[in-house]
Amino acid sequence: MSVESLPARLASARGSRLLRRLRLSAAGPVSLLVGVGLWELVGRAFGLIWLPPFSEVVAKLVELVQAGLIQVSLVDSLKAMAVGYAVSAVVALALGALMAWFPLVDRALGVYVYAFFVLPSIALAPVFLALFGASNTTRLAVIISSCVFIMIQNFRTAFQHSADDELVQMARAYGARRREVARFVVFPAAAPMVFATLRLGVGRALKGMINGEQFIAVFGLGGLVQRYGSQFDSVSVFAILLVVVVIALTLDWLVRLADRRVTRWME
Amino acid sequence: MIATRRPPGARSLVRQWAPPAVVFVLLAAGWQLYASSGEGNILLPTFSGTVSALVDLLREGELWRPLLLSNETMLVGYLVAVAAAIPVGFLMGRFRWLDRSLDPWVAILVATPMAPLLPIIVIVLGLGIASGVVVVFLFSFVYMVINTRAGIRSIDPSLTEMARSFGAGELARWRYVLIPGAMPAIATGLRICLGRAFAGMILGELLMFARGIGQVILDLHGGFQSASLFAVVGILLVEALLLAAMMRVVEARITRRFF
Amino acid sequence: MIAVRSLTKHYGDGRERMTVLDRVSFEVRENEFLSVIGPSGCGKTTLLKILAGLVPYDGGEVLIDGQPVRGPGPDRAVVFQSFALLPWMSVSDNISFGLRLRGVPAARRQARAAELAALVGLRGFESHLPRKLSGGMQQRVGLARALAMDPEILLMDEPFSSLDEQTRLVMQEQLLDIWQHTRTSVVFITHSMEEAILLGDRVMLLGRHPGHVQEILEVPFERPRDRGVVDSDEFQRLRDHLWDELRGMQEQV
Repeated sequence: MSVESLPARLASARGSRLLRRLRLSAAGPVSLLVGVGLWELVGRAFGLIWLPPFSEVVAKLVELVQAGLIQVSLVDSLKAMAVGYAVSAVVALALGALMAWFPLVDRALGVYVYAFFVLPSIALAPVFLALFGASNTTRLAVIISSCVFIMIQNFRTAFQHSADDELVQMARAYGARRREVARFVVFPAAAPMVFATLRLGVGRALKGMINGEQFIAVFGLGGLVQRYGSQFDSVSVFAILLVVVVIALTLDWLVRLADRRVTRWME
Repeated sequence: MIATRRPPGARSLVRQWAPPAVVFVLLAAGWQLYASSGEGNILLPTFSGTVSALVDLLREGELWRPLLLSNETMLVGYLVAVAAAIPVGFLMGRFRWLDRSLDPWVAILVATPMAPLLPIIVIVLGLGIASGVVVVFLFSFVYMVINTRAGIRSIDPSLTEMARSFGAGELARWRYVLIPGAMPAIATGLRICLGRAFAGMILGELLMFARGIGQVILDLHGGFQSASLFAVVGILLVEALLLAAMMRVVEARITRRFF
Repeated sequence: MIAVRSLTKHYGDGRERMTVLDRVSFEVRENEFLSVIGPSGCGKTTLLKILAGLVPYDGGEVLIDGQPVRGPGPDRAVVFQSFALLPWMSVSDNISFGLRLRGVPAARRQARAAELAALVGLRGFESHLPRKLSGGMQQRVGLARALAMDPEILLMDEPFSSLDEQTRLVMQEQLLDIWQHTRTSVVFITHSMEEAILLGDRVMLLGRHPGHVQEILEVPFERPRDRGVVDSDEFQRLRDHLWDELRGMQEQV
């Protein structure tokens, strides 16, 4: 980067700095539009069976919604995901905290949590299918196994870090009892990581749900995907994919919103 | 935990492994009792049944070929994803405007399940190796980009400043500062990415392609041989653990060299 | 040698604009050691980076041997506060980094690096990695790296402030020794009054809000110098004067 003397610099400085800032903040949305635009153009130009133009996908989605074909599956899927996620979150919070605070529990269970964390949850789907058939139980099992193990590990880290901090010692030195230490030091310190884990878990639960449903290939949004796929109906598959993308982004946004609300409430 | 230099003595080894061993025994015993009691699910194999199925499978040696097929697909997809993602990650880490532009796509790719794309891939590429490779690629690509980008971003800015002060141009800065500095993060990315590739391999096999291990599983499932099915899943678990352990070593080695 | 006239530097835009340096003027003579001291926020580090050609400026002139500064150059070398050593290169490679960038062949680089390692007291450590070295040793590598370029001007940005006090005192003595040999011009930024007076031929005191030259003091001690001068009355007088000025600035906030 070379250095210029006064006149040249001042002339370009103010204008370019403002423009640069504008350009940066617009970059994201612009690139999204460009991407969608490209999709549309390529879809139209090449007429490939597997890449329908964006507008066609949206039209199909509207059609499916109007025909009432999506709503039932959507609600069904979301309900299952909510239940699976809630169960996982509660179990993971409890186990994670126990493992953080009681080394014996950590030693006893850590190996198994790690083992199932490393194994992709979809590998367990055939097992669940064999045991419970093509039922909601199987789907729930897949959802839970896809997010509970990673959440246990992360919750454990969240609580472990705050368990033996300097701040805890400080609070104890000032006469705080266990409950007060928990309330004023441990929980606020753990909060950021707890929310990060919850956010992570939501993404995993969604993926577990779709993976499980596509594997079972009977109900839910995943079931629809498999059905349309086997019919070579790529437009409908993309339509459902669009729904899934929207769900994924919405859920992420919701968790982040909750994060901010709770953080504000705690302060 | 306090780290000591001495190798773990007998007592601390017992302390470390006794609790999980106890848990294992309890779980295995519980499983065995429940499965053989006739009260439970008729399709639930016993622990002993699963173990003997496992031994049979390993002895017959019919698993190795499907496993090899599947893993070949995974390896190819993984290598392509890594080769493609590292340059993208570098550029995104280096040029802020590019990062801002592509970031929404990165966010979407991370949050969205890839499974709905599988039927599309089959429509395009059929049921061969190519589809499997594409699935593995889709699973791993974006994670490698993220880690590489983070690696570039994490470099101490005073190092690039120092390089500039000694006359380093763009290329020299890449060669002596940016690339070596990003290596630890890239190493982490390699590890995470392989885990994702493995997941992609299995998902691809189970949902669509069934060439390798997926075929084995689906056959066993169709034949109601649940003990063997459980055993195969157990083998996949072992592979997952081995891959994870191997990558941790690789990651540590690379990080050590560059930091 | 270095002529700075009415140097001005702003940060930010429009309403948020801050003047970091306001019409700073001074000179650094041939083979002179100039200490620069001032409270935090007086722009001393920015000044150094401008001299190094790393940061652009908005007004005035910065001339080195009559030529305006347009970017980094082989005539100037910087020693950084955080050492800025490349962790993946050995001591020898770090020292010869600047030479490698200029295309000097490997054999000559190694020889020169060995020479400089010996000069700064790191003989035998050439193949060590930075993480194996203490802070003081790392900064000596930084110094050797700068000297390897045979620069006309050495720019040192609070080079000893990351070190503990004992190491710092040792390094000051070392620097006095080394400088006796090389006698390059030096601009040395510090926040320590003792350090500024001990090392410098002159001390430039910068004020802040905005950054400007408050005063330039002559340091009357002869060369070669050692820590002995610290006990003299003259040293105390200079130090007390500096402290009066600096304390006044601190209270201004």
